[in-house]
Amino acid sequence: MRDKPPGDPSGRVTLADLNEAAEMVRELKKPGAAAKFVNWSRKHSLWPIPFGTACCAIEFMGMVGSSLDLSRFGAEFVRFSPRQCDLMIVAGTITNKMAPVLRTIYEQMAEPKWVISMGACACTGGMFNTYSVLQGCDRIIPVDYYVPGCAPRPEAVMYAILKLQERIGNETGVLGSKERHREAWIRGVKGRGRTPKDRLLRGGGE
Amino acid sequence: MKEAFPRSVECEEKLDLCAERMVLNWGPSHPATHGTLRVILTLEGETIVKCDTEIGYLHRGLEKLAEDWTYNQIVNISDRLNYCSVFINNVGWHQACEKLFGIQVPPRATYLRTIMSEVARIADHMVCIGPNCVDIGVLTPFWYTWNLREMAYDLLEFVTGARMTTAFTRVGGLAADAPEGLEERITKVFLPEVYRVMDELDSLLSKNRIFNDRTRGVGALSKEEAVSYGWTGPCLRACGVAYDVRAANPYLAYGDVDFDIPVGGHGDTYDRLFVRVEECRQSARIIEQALSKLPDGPVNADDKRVVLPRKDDVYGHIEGLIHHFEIVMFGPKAPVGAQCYDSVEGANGELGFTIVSNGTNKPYRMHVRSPCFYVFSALPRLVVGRLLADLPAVVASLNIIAGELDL
Amino acid sequence: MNQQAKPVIERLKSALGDKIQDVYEDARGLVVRVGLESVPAALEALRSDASSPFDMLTDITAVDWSRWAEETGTKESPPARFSLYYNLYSISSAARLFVEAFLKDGQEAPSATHLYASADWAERIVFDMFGIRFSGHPDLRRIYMPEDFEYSPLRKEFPRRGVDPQDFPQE
Repeated sequence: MRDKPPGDPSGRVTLADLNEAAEMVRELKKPGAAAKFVNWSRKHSLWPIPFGTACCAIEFMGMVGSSLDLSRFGAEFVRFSPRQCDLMIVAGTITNKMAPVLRTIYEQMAEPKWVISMGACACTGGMFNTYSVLQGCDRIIPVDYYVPGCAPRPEAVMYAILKLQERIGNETGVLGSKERHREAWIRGVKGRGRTPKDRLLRGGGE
Repeated sequence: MKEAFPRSVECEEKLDLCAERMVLNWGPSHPATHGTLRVILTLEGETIVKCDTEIGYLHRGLEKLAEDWTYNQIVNISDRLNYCSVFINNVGWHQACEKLFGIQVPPRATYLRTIMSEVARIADHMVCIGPNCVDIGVLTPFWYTWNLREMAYDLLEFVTGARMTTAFTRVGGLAADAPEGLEERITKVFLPEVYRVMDELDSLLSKNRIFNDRTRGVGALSKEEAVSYGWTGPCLRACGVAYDVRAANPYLAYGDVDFDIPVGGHGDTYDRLFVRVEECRQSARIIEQALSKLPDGPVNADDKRVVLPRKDDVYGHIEGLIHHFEIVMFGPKAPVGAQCYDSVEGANGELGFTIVSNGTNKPYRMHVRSPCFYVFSALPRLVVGRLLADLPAVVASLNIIAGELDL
Repeated sequence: MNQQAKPVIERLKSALGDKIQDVYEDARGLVVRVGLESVPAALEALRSDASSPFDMLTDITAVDWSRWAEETGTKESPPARFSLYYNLYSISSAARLFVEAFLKDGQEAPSATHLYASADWAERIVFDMFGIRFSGHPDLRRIYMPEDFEYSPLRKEFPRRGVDPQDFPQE
């Protein structure tokens, strides 16, 4: 609120105040203003849940540590509870045994949620093209950013988070993950993925 | 006072909540499970009555994969075993290979391998202590240990090119020689910091009343049981058994340097953590001595069948070209029917590799004896009868690395 | 290490007699080959050896020899499909010894859990990866693969990428 003029100690609402308020409402009514504000606050408070299974989790911890310090970008403390997070960082190899757990945790996260797939194993299965490894976490969850590397440097993951922040800030609407991943969802529904449990029963394949 | 909810006699009996047992699932996605483990607890109130573990959430089929890769490629698999102390795994694998092939590595390579193994050991102990403290509730040591770990990473990157997954050893020696300036970086920058951080950890934790209450007497195991469970490494030494592969069967340059083996008295969480702190000091001592004795010379054995020839040989002589081609395309070939087992002192214990060779460039069978596996098998024995809050402290002090546990 | 283990062999021979099929040395160290049913007796004798008790069972490994003849091009194949290696270590005398036993497919091996606590999980891995059962094991179930997995991954006929590999559908 602007300062009251010196000659009006009573604090009554004047016509100028009303004009100012009407101006603000007109600003907010413009398409995209509320979205801009919401997206701005979302991007600066991304709380990560590190779904860390293997070596990449150690590099993730390096990013959280004091040399790189993720919390200066708003990711204050990594919480392992999916209810309290909005950014899942899949760091490490996802095996067929772990896949249902990953899917459950992803579904337990509330909207809006984003996923960064960190490391070669999470992106594509990495160097482990074997009977027990899920060849990429994007087979079961939709991914926003892929960070290649084995293990990627913490700076690389930091770059992905910054890019994600930029993208969230540029969104023109207040989007949930379903809208963002519309295509991937359609593909999934059309039958590309069978359930992880079927894979396990059949001994390691999809 | 009139009660809001009148209770019948039956309800009175059922209100004794401690008599009801609860099954609690701990993991596999949990902040205090280091990596992916699952522990299924049966609790009576806060006391753990039964404990069952489930592992395999990071089983990547490494032994099966190794049957399809050449001996020099498998070092990448060894990288991902205990991913906190990667160089020790590299050395362990290639040492077993060299035993299989019957090759002697030149002294400069053994000393360099020793130095970088000890740097990796310090880094691994920092990974154990930092998150262990976080799990107990004290967040501060995590930052200090992680800073030291970043310095170890800087060193590893300086020598090998990679922070964590180094893959620097080859059959016959190392991939490349250490660059200039290594000695200065280690003695002037790294080692003073190691001693300083160990002293800091001592001052922060050893006399802290809460830390002592949370760790002393928690998760203790006797000597005989620990040996029967196959425990090795800092966990076994905390129980009072002075078994260290570096001393019992000296390999690399450990026979030429002086170091002590810290041994704990009670085998509890406190001992396991402080054995690691003391081991870091001993590792720093080993690095100092090895650096002062570092010999000059080649870093690869003089064996044309397994080691890449020099470039002027490759471009100048046909034999050099042929050897280069064969080693790069197919990799070194081991003798038929050779079987070998060799172990090194990993950061968690005795890391052993069993290799069976079928005469080709790929092993017929490769088996990893992972120290974490046997350490974790004793977890039910350690926590049954204790409170739920002791579980994260115990699990973290065992330093379970899922990559090694699940192979 | 082999030097310390040699006197033990003499004592073992006197304890077990003709149950020992062979004693040889290779890059593993000293290897004692016994028949499958004599494995517990051999382990017991080694564990309670007078001057260097082998108090730690470091590891139990199994090898599937079914592709050996094909891959090495030799005509002689090993006596049976699988062999079990028991890796024993004596802390007091820093001696290492291997006990080896061959077994056929479908044969049940005797468990060593009554002697060493580390045999519990080690035998579970062998069961999981090779399908070799151990009689007398208190809780023989899979340890790495899920309970409903139907195959034994480290057997030579099991493909590395699994029975139904995760390929992309051909579009």
